[in-house]
Amino acid sequence: MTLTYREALNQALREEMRRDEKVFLIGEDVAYYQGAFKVSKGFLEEFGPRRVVDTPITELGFTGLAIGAAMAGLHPVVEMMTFNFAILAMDQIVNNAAKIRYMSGGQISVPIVIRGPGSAAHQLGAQHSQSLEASLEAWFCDVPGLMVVAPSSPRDAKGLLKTAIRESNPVIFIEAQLLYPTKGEVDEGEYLLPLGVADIKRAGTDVTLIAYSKMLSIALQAAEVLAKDGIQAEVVDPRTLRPLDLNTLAASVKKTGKAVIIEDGWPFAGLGAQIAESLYTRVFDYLDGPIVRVTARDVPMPYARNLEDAVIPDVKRVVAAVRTVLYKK
Amino acid sequence: MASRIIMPKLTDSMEEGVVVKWRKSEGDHVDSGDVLAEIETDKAVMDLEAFASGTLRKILAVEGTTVPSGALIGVIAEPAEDIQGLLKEVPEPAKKAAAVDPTHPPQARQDAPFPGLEAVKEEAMVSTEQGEATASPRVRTLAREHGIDLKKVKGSGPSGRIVERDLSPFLTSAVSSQSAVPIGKDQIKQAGQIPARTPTRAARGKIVGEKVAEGPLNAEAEDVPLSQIRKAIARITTQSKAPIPHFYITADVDMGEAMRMVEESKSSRSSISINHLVITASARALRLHPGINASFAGDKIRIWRRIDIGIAVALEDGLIVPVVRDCGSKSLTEIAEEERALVKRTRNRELKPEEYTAATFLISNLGTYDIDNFIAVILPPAAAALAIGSVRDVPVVRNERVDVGRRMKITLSCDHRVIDGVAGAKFLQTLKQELEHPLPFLPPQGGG
Repeated sequence: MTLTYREALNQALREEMRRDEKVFLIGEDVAYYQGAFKVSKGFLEEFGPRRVVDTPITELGFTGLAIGAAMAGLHPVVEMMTFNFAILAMDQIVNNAAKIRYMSGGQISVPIVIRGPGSAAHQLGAQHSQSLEASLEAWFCDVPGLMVVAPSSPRDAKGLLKTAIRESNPVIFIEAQLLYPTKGEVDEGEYLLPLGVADIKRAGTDVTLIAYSKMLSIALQAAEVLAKDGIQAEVVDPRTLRPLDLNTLAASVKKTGKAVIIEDGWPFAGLGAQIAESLYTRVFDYLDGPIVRVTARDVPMPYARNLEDAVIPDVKRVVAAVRTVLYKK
Repeated sequence: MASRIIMPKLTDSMEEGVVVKWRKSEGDHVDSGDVLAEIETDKAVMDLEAFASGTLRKILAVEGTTVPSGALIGVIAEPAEDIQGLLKEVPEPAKKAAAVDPTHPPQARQDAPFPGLEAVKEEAMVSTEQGEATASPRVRTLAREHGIDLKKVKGSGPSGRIVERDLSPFLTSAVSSQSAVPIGKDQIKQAGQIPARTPTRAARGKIVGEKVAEGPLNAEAEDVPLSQIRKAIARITTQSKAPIPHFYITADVDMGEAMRMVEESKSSRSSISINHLVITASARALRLHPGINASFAGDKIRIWRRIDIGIAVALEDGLIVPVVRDCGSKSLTEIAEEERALVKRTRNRELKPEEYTAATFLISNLGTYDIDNFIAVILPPAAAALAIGSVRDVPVVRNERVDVGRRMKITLSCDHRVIDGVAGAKFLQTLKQELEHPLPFLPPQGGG
């Protein structure tokens, strides 16, 4: 069945809310407006205002409220209108959601999902358009106690969100604004996809491209271009960024000997740096050259369309990076 | 005539070996064929045999040291023979290391651009002092595996770096030359040494019998190097399971009383665990069945007077079996204190070898992992090992009524050369009674 990324998320949430009445959705404009990106379309009608809760513009407040509800036994799903606004809730996420289980000696779990769109969209300016799956997401990935998921396809989005809701630990679930309308094949009926398991989206032998969320489609397009040149790129999607499925990534790089990591976050201390470090540790002796990262440029996101395009990684830059690691002119 | 003892190269992949134990001392007379030492390779521990007769004049590698293949580790000669000439070739380790001049620290690069994509082309060009071309790590690995001399390879990468594609003409020829000239055996012969159990070689030089299972898709596996403890576990369990004819007996134990004792002890100064009760009960049962506290000793069975019980303790990278000595003469409280201290020191890796060897009976408890029942591997010299499962709440029939009982399965692994089925069953029956009717728990005197 073909669904959009948005519809797949809607289905996942709806199935889980029907399955378990402890699951509820809370956030700005999730009920009467049906979500800023219409992910919760039809929810208020079906589940009522007690389980689909509109909040004031108070990220720190409603995230804290949801964490408390999770500690008391409910399974809240918090929608961030975009992850830019989750910065306001960082204290609750880092100091409470991630640590309560540890600090209570395992007595209290925080089964919460915090979800919303993360990466750059088009012409929203520096404060509303930053590649949070690689930059802010690197902030989240830094924190022990959090799991971080960033699906790239409708199928992954549905299966991973359902698993995230059933997880007994806090999960940061980062979607992408530009992915919401994209279509893809989704399994019939209910299914779950495991967290912490990468997916090989395209098999190849010559170079490993590592990309997730919105950047995965750039990687796949680059692989198409490279194939015309006789270069078979393997495209690996980690899907879950923490815990990272290093075994799958390392096996691929061990095979190809070359790796390019594509992320649309800032370069310095970005997630790709961590992935590269982990790979160097694991497969140094199998590398035929340095791992190359393709990242956003090290600047706030410009508003001007042409400058914005110059900042975000594109197919051309990925192809050039692959040619570099393959020692081709 | 003086003869050199060298670290052999037993497999193509062997680059160094560990001198585990010298079986002869300096000054001992040795005959050709005598076992001189035990050598740990990357695959197994093997005996190193003398190829010449004479006196073991000099040992150059102390036990536990790692020595490269081909290096001199000892000398056999006539008692009065001059061996100074041979001793000169002893390598001086780390002579060339740490040659950094402290007054001239390496200069930090000021011109390094931001580590973005463009920087890679320049940054990756590292060359050695002599101006030799570098090789990628992958190339070094391939060269090592296929015996390719990188000096003969011309690099096509930046600054002449040798990259994978540069090796393709060498990869096919290297394989054929390797199968024509088996490395290892000849070198060992020339050097005057031959291992006692030279393994049969497969065409590509791998040891048959210890060949690692290779799946169809190598890329989907990951090789983790063996730690010393993992090597030891592999060796010891194989040496146990292969020659010892194991058989197993399981019993179901009513742990109601025992669990009450464990619960009650929690409020006292020294609490006791199921393990403490099992050790104490085993010791009492072993006193009544001395034939279980025994070893198979070739042409006889050795019945031990002292009951030394080994407890399997899991570590991050393996397990160690510390031994509570003389359990037969100790009280539950003494055993509990001793076990706690031993386990703590095991986890801190503070045990001396004599504290984790020569148990006469073994206990392994996986009860905390929600395990119904399992069977343990016997570690010689013990002839039996007891496996403890979880305590479960199960329906039991008591006085014609179904009631909730707390039950635990215990399984005894027996060495059939020492213990027969009935003997094992009788022991287990006693042990079951001991566990079901434990002696009242007496807290230590004076305190509270």
